[in-house]
Amino acid sequence: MPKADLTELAARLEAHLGDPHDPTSLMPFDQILDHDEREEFPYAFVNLLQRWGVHEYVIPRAQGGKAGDVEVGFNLLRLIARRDPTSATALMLTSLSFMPAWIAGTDEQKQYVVDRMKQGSKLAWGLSERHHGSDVLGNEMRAEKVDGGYLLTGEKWLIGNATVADGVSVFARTDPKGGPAGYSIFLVEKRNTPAGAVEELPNERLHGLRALDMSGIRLDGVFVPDEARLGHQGQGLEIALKSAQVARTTIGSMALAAVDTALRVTLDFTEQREIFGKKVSDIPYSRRQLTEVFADLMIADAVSLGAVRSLQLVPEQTSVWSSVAKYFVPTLLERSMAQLNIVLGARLYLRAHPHYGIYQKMLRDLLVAIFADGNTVVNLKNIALQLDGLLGTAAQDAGARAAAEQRVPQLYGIDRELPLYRPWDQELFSRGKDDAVLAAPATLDRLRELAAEAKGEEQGWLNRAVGAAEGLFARAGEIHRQAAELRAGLGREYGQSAELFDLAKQYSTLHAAAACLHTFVHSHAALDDPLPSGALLLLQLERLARLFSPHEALTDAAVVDEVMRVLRHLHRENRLFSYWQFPLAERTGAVHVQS
Amino acid sequence: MNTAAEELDRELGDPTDAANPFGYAAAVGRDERDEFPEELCAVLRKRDFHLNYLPAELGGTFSSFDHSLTLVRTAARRDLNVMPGTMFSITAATCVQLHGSAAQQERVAAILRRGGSVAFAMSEAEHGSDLLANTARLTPAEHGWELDGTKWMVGLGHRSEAAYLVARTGERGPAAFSAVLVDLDDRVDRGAQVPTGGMRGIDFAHLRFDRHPVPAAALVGREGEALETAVKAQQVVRLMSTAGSLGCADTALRLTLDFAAERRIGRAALLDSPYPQRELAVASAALLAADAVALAAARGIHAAPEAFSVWGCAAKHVVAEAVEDLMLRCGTVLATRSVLRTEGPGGGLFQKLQRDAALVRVVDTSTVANLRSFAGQLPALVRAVADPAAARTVFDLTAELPPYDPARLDLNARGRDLVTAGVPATASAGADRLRAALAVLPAQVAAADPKGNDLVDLAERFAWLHAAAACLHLHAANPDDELLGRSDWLEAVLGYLLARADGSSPRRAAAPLLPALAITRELHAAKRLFSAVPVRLA
Repeated sequence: MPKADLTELAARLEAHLGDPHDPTSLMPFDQILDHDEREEFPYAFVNLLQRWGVHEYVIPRAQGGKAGDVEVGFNLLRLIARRDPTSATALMLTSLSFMPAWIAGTDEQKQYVVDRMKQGSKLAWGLSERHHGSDVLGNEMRAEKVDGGYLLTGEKWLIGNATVADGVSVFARTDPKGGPAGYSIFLVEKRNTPAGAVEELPNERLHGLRALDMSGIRLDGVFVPDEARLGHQGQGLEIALKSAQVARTTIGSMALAAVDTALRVTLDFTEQREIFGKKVSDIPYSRRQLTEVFADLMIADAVSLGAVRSLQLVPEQTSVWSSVAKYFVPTLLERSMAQLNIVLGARLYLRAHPHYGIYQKMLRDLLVAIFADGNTVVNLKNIALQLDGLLGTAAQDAGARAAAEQRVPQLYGIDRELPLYRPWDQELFSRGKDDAVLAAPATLDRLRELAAEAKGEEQGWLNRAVGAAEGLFARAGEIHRQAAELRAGLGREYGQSAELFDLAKQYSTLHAAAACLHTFVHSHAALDDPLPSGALLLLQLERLARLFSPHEALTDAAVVDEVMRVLRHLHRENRLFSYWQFPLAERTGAVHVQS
Repeated sequence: MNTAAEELDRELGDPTDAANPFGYAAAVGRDERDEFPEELCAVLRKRDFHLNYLPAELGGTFSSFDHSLTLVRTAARRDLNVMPGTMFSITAATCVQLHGSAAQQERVAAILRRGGSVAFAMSEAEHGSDLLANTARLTPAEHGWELDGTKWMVGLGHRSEAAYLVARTGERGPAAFSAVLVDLDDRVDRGAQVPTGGMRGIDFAHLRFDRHPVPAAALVGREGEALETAVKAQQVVRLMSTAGSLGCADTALRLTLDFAAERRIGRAALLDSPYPQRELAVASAALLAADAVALAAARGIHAAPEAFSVWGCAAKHVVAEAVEDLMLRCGTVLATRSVLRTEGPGGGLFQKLQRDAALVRVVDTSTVANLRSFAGQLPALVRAVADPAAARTVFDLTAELPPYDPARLDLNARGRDLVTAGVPATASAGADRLRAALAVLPAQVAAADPKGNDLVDLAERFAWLHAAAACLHLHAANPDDELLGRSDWLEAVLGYLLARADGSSPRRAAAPLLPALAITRELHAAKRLFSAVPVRLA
C-alpha cells in the first residue's frame, strides 16, 4: 500500500477512535483503565474495532480480505495498542493463530477459516504447555490417528484468547516418539466438538495486559476430522517456527505503542510543568532523557520497519530478522521506559490519575509483551547459531553483498511497493544472509554523499554520523574473531556458551545501527518534515555505540536541542513518534491535568 | 545484633507456606485486593518493631542504624508494605527530634507508642522537587495562623492523627517555610484513597486545608527553618529506604534461584545453563554489593553524620539502581513466570516485588533530584582527606559505634568523605581499577561543564565509586569475616560496581562475578539472608 494511502487509512482509524484522553471518545483511557483494574476482557473494544474492519487487514486478498502488506496490519494494531495493548493483543492473537492455516492450509481450509474470521470468530494459538515454555519439542499434547481423524489428548497452557476463542490451532504430537517430524497442527473448533469437550482452564492473572484472556485448554480424547489438520502430518514444527517468525516480527508493535504513549504523556507533563523557573523539557538533564528515549523509539521503529518488510522481500532471511527484532526492540524499549520513569517521577505509579494513570499500565503491558512468543534467550540462541555464517558472508561474499545492496532501498524505502506476501516462502535458516548488515557499507557510502550535499549544521551532524557508523561497523570483525576464538576454545560447548549469546547481542546492535542508516538514506526523500534529521541519526548511533562503550560521547548539547525540536514538533503536531508520522486523533481531551 | 531479626522471622513463619498469613501468597492476596497489611503490622507492633527508629529516652527501641536496617529488611522481605505500614512516621519523628520542643517530641512519641502515626506533609503536586515553589501558606491570624493549601501524596494521610506540615510563612528563598505540628481533625479534607501501582493497599491521601486554624504553639522550632530540617530528615529516611530495596531484592533472588534449580530446558537445569547462570551471577553480585553499601552507610551515619548529604544520597542511589538491575535480570530468568500474578513463583509475588522496588526507587526523592542534590559538592569532595580513625570505626564490624547524634547532620558535607579518601592499599585487580578511577576523578570534575549534565553524570559515577570504596574498606577491615573477608566476594562486588560506574554491562566482565552466585547459593542453602550480617531465616 503506498505511503500516502496507509497514512490516510491510519488517520481514518485514529479519527474514528478519537482522543483517548477524551472520555467521550470511542476508546478512552478511563474505560481502558477500568477494564484493566477489573480484569475484564475488552469485548466492547474488540467488537468496535471489528466493526471498523481492522481484522480485514490481516486476511489475505486471495481469500477476500484486505491484507496486502504486513506493515498495514502492523501499524493499525500499533495505533490501537497506543490506547490499549490488551485489545490490540486480543486482535493480534486471532491473526497469528490464523498463520498456520495461511502458511500450510489448503485453499479450501484458508477460505473456511477466513469466512469464520469475517464473521468475527476469535482464534487462539495452542502451542505452549505448562512445563515446556520455549522447549517446543518437549510438548506432550498427543494426536492419536483413528479412522477419519485424530483423537487429541493433553493440555495447552498460557494460551492467549483460549477461553474466548471459537477455534484453537493446536500443536500436537502425531509421532509418539516426538522429534522434529513428530508434530502436526490441528484446528479445533469448539462448536464442532461435543459440549464441554474442550475444557477451558482458569484465567491466569497477569502483571500487565490484565484484561487479556490468558488461559488454556485441556482435551481428553477429543475427535477432530482429517480435514482439520493444517499441513502434512509431521509438518507441525516447521509451520510453528514460521508462524513464530511472524509473531516475533510484529509483536514489537505493542512495545512501540506503549512507549509512544508513555513518552507522549510524559511530554504533556514536561512541556507544561515548570520547575526552578524552567519547563522540565528545558532542564538539560530531563531534556537528555526525553531525547534519548525518543532516539531509542526511532531505533526500534527502524528495526521494525525493515523486519516487517523483510517478510515480503527476503522471506528466506526472516529467521535472523525476526529474532533480531524480537530480542532487540522490547529489550531496548524496556530500558528506555526505565529511563522515562525518572522524568515522570512519582506520577508513574498513580493508578487513578486522570491523565498519567495510563502510564503505569503501559509500563506493565510492555513487560508482558517482552515474554510473548519466544523469550530473549530463545531468540539470542537462534542468532547465535547462525552468527559465524552471517559474519563470514559479510566479510567474504561480494556477490551476497551486491545482491543485498540491490534490495535494501526497497527494504528500508518507506514509500516503496512490496511484492505479495507469501508466508510459506519463509525459511528456518538464513544461510548466512542478513541484507541489513551486508549492505551497510554501501549505504554508508551513500550517507557520505548526502553529507557532502547537506548544508550548515546538518552537514556537520551527518559527517559525525558517518564517523559514528564507521566505528560501529568496524566492530563486526572483532565480533567474528571472538566467535571463532570461542568455537576453537569451547568445542561442543560453544553453541550454549554465555559468551556466544553476548556476541549475538552485539550482532543485533550492528543490525540495528544498519537499520537506522538504511532508513535515513533510503527513505530520505519520502519522509515528512522535520525528518530526516541528521541530529537524530547521530543520537541514535550514539545510543547504539554506548551499548559497546558507555562513555562514547558523539553528541553535544546542540544535537540534543535539535532532536528536542524534532520531538516537540511531532508532539505539538500530534504525530506518531515514528518514521511514518501518522496524524493522530485530534486532541479534544485534556492535554495536562493538574496534580 | 541479628537476634531480633531472627526471632521476628521465626515468629512470622515460613513465607513459602501458602497458608501462612505472613507469607508470600498472603502478600499477593493483599496486593490483589488493595488491602492494608493490618494483621502483619499488628504482629510487628506487638514486638515494638514500629519503634525501631525512636530513641530509648522517648520509649523507642532504637540502638543503632545497622541494627534497625537488618531488622527492617528482614521484615520487608515478606511484604514491603510493612515499611509504610509501620514506619512512615519516621520523617515527621526525625524532624521533630531535630528541632521540636521536649513537649512536641513527647507528643509524637506518645502517638507512635500507642501504634498511631504522624504524617509528613510537604510535597505539592505541581512543584515536585522544586520545594521553593510550594504554595501552601500559613497566614497570621488570631491565636496563631490559618492554613490554606493541598499537600500531595501524604503517606498514611487517612489514618494519621497529626502531621508535621511544611508551609510558607514568608515570601522568598529557603527561609520562607516553617513547620507546624497540626492535628488532623474533621476539618481537614483528606479526599479519597489514592490507588498506586506499587505499595498497593497503603494509605495515601491528598490533604486539603481551607482556612484551617493552627495555634501558635503548633510551630516546630523557629520560623523559617522547616526546609533545612526536612532536608536533613530525608537523609535518614533515604538510608532506611535501602532496607525496603534490599527486602524486595532478597525475595526476588530467592524465588528465582528456586525456579532456576527446578526448571529444565532439555536435560539441563536453568541454574546450570551458561546464559541464565550469568544473569544470576550479575544479580547476586548486585545484591551482595547493595548489602555492603547499605551496611556501611548505616554504620557511617553514627561516625560521620555530617557527611550524609552525600553519603546517604550515594548509598540510596546505588542500592536502588542495583536492585532495579537485579529485578530485570531475575525477570529474564523467570521469563513468563515473572509476569504471572498467581501462578508465578512465590504465589505470583515476583511482579509485586518489581512494582514495589520501582516505587521505593522514587518515593522519597526522584533519582535525578537525588543525584543533583550533591552534584554541586563534587569539586570539594574529590579533595577530601582521609580519616583513618573514623574509617576504622565505621568499617570494622567489631568496633563499637558512637551513639547516633542527629544534631550533627548537615546540609553540606563540606568536602568531608572518609570513604573515597584513603582507600585501603589491598592488592586486588578490582582495587587497582578503583584506585585508578578515583585518581582521575578530580581532573574529570575540574573539566566538567557546570551548565550541562556533566556534574550530574559525574555524581552518578561518584556514587558507584563511593560504593566500591566502601566495599574495599569493609574487606580490608574484616579480614576474618566469613563473607567480607573473602577475596572472591571482593572481586565480585567491585567487578559489578566498577562496571556500573563505567556505565557498561556487568555481563561483559562476568568471570569475576560468577563466585557471587556460588555465595548466594550457599546463603540460600543455609537459609540465610543474602547479607554479610548473619541472619538465619525461618
